Amino acid sequence: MPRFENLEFGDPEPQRKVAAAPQRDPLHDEHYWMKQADDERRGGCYENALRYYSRALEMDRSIIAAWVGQVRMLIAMGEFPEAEVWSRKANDLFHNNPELIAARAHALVRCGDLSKAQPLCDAAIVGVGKDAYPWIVRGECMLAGRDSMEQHCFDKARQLSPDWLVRLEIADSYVFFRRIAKALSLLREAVELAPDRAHLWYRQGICEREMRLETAARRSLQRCCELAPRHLEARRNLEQMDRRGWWPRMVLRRLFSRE
Amino acid sequence: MQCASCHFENMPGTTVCGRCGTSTTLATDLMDVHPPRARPAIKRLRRLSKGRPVLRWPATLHFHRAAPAWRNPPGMRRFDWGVFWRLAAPGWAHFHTGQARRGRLFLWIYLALLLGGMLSIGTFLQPLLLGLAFSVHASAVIDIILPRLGPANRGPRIVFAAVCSLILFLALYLPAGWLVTRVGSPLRIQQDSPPFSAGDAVLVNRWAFLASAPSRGQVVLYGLPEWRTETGDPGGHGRRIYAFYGERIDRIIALPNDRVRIDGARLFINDQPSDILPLNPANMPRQFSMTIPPDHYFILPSGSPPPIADEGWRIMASVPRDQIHGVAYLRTPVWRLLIIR
Repeated sequence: MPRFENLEFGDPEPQRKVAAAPQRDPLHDEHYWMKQADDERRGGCYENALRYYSRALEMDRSIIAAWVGQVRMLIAMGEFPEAEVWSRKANDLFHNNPELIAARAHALVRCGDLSKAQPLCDAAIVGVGKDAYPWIVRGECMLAGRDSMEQHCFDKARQLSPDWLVRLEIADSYVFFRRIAKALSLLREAVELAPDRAHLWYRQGICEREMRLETAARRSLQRCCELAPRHLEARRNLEQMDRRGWWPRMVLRRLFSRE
Repeated sequence: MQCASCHFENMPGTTVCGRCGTSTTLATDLMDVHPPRARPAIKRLRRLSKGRPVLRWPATLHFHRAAPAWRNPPGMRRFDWGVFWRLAAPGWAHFHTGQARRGRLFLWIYLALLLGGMLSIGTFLQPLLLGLAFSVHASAVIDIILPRLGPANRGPRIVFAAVCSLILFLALYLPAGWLVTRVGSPLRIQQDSPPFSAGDAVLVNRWAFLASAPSRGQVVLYGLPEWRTETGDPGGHGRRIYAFYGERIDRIIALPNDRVRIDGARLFINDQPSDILPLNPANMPRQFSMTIPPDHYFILPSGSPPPIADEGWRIMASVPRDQIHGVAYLRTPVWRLLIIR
């Protein structure tokens, strides 16, 4: 029996709650789930990617990339207030991490709170290493503030990472702020880099459809269906394009279309 | 023990990173790692709104003092004129600042009220609806500007809102109202005189003759040349005084120097039969002839009771050019709508 077990020295240090270690399968560790999440994200399955990021965090809560990934998936799915809440929590856990700060700024921009987003974006840029994400967020901040210099930030992001995913994310920002033509040019670049990605063809098709480039949109969506025969959204869009009636709006669109 | 956030090498046994304060035991801490999700109904609602985000201060209409240095060099102040001049149309500035839903709301309410006001010209609804349209526009302006004032007490905000409305009225609605009343001045009809009834309103373009002279067949608003006559014993019992004056609306039948002859119900101009008749042909004199003096126009005041003497027709029907005020072109309200030709 220890001699000093019952002595009182003020408030004892609060006992930290420690998670029960999950059954660790050596093949399915956090790195495995992170890779799965990344694959799903590249395939445009953001819901699945979010789930895999959570699985990775269940294994190891200190993986910052997974926290950032969660926030980015929430943003990609349009759940901006939730992304803001989650990024705030992540920032509370990991102080001064540039990627997490950038993620919070990203969520804030999408929520429309540019006043809070801008200082955070600046802070993220100060601490940034070779990651493109803070530059994308900064570009988006400028886009939201109707600043014409956003192109420089996006160019910087593209320089830092030649990955097609960066182009897709920049295109996402442009689409969100209804600059479809710019988004389309980036998507075309991304398609050139990764022509075997169905999701890229789908996104390109959607942008072309938005710009009333019907033939090009049909070609892109059909290519998407060839690469991924189960891509329901692409099929639905193709069916919608086939259902061309004679409503005045459609007639006007046809008259003033660019083809 | 390396910090997960800043990669600082901490002493073994530390629970908090010495550089950034991040917990070093995060990997095994018990916490929820599943993010909150939006419910499907909320997502549907958000999709319905389908607008870009609301960009708050300092995105628009401000002096960019708070903006970071990379956006504005020190000492440079920039005013967002893009928002300012878009305040001229309700909702436009909202579209510009990304508040599409609110902008649409303001715009459609304004247009509905404005259209209602235009269609109900001449009725009690017109000032009511136009006033409401103005207040919607003023609200749109205040909605854009007031949030950018930052926190302020209620008093200054009310004063500022009143000043905004006043500036809007003076800068936009007063000149616009003046312009509109030049080309579409509503004139209330006080008594029945075909084709008008008491309560109708007639829109008059008072600028119609700025560049061109009046022409035959036009329905115009003009000042009736004054004429007085007396009947009965002057100074005795049964004496009656008839006075004709004021503004009338009728058709120009003949131009200066034309010869006009009325024979029964037929009208001749320069000895040629004319199909141009006054608005109320029943009130034409039976027999009449005259030559129109230079710079005068022949307009029979057919709406009023016929004058007693032939001399009265001569005086009242030859209208000097400067007494023709404008062209009457539309009878309102909407349920009695008539394009006057």
